[in-house]
Amino acid sequence: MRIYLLMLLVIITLSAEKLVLITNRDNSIKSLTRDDIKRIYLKKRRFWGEMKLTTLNLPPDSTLRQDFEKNILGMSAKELENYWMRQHYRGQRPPYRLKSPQSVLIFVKKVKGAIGYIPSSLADRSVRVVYQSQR
Amino acid sequence: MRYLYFTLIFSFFSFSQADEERYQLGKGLQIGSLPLYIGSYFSLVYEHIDEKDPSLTLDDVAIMLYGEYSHFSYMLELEAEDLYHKVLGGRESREPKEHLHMERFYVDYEFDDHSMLRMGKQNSPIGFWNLNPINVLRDTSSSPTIVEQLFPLLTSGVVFGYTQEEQMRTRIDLIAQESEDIEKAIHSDIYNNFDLNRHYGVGITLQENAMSCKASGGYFRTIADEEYTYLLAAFKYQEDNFKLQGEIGRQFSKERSTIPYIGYLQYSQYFEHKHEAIIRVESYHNRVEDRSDNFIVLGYTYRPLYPIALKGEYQWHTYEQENKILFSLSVLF
Repeated sequence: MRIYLLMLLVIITLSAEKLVLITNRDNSIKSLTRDDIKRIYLKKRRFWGEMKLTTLNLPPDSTLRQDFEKNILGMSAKELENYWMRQHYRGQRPPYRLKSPQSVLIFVKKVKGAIGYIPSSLADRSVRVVYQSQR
Repeated sequence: MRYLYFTLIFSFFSFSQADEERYQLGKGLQIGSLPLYIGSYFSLVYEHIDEKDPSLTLDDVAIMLYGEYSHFSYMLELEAEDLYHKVLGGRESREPKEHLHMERFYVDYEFDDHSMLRMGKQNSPIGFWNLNPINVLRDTSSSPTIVEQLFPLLTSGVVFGYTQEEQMRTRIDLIAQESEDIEKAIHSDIYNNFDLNRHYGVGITLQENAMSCKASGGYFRTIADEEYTYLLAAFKYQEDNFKLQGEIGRQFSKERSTIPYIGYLQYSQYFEHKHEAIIRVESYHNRVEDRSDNFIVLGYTYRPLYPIALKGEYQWHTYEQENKILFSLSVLF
C-alpha cells in the first residue's frame, strides 16, 4: 500500500512540474516572453539577430507538449495542425520533433540556435533557461 | 501524359501513407534525409452557370518541392491547369492544357530576424486572399474578383520584406519585376492573370492581436504596353470561431480610372474546425471589360480532415445570367 501511495505521490509531483524553455548557453538569448515564444514556435520569427533558430517539439502524446501548446502557445492541437498545413503551402515546416525531454536537452547543448522545452527538474547549468512557466 | 502525371502524384502520396510516422495528409513528405520536402494538391470543381451546361473540371493539380538550408529557402511549384474538363451537356467547350505551368519558383534569403529577399516567381504579397490562393486553403471554391482583376497574382522578380516585431507587428514589402514572366523560358502560355514585363509595388501590413490591416499600391505594364496603377486596402479580424475580412481597390491607366471600385466584404463562421459558413458581398465596375456587377456569395465548407475540403456555394449576380452553383472537392497532400 505504501508503495502505491509513494508512486501516486511521484506521479502527482511529476505532472505538476513546471515547464522551462531552454536554449544553448553560447547564444545571446537571455530571456523570452510568451509572445516571443509563440512567434518563434510558429516560425513567424526564424532568426535571433543573424542566428537561425531551431525549435524543438516532443511527440503529440507527450503531456509536456500538451501543456506547452495549451498554456504557452495558447492554441489547441487542432489549431496547430491546421496552422502547419497552411504553412506547408508556404514552404514552412513545423518544429523538429524529438522523442524525449532528455533528447531535447542533448540537442540544445549541441546546437547554438536550438530552443526546446523540458521539465524544470531536468534543466542543468549546461543550458540556459529563458522562460519558466508559472503553473 | 496529363493523366499519368496525376496518377503518379496520387499514387506517391497514397503509398506514403502506409508509413504514418513519416507522412501525414496535408503535411508533405521529406525526400530521404535531404533538406527537401514534397507536397501536392488538387481540386475537382463542378460549376453550373445559369442557362449554360454544367461542367466538371479537375483543376490545379500541383506538385510542390521546397526546403531550407541555412539562410536560404526554396520553392518550386508545378501545376497542371484544367487537367480534365468535361461539359456535362455533351458539348466540349475547351481543350485541356497539356503542359505544366511553373506557378512558383523562388529562392529566399533571410538576412536576419527583420529582413528577407525573395527572388523568382511568387505570389504577389498584395491583400490577404492572394497569400492563400489555392482552393483547399480558401474559404470558398471561387475567389473574389478583386484578386483576378486588380493586380498581378504572380510576380516574376524580387520582393524585399522587412518585419518589425514589437507590440504591433509591422511588415513592409517592396516588389520589383523588370522582365517577362520566367515561365516564358519554357513556353509562351504563362500562368498569371496579366502577361507582364514590369511590376513595382509596395505594401505595409500592421497586425495587433486578432486585427490585421494592409495597404498596397503598385504599377505594372503588360507585354502589350498597357500600363496600370493600383491601390488596395484590406483588413482581417480573426477570432477562434469567426473571421471578418474585406479588401477594396481601384485601378488606373494613364488616361482614366479603369476600375473605379472593386471589393468584397466576407464573414466566415467556424464550427468545431470542420464546418464553415460563409457570406460574401462583392461589387465592382470594370471599364476595360465594360462590366459592373454586385453579387452575394453564400458558401458552406465541410472539412472531414483539415486538408480535405468539400465546398458548396451559390452566387446571386445582378449581371445577367451569371448566377452560379459551385461544388468542389480539394485535397492537400
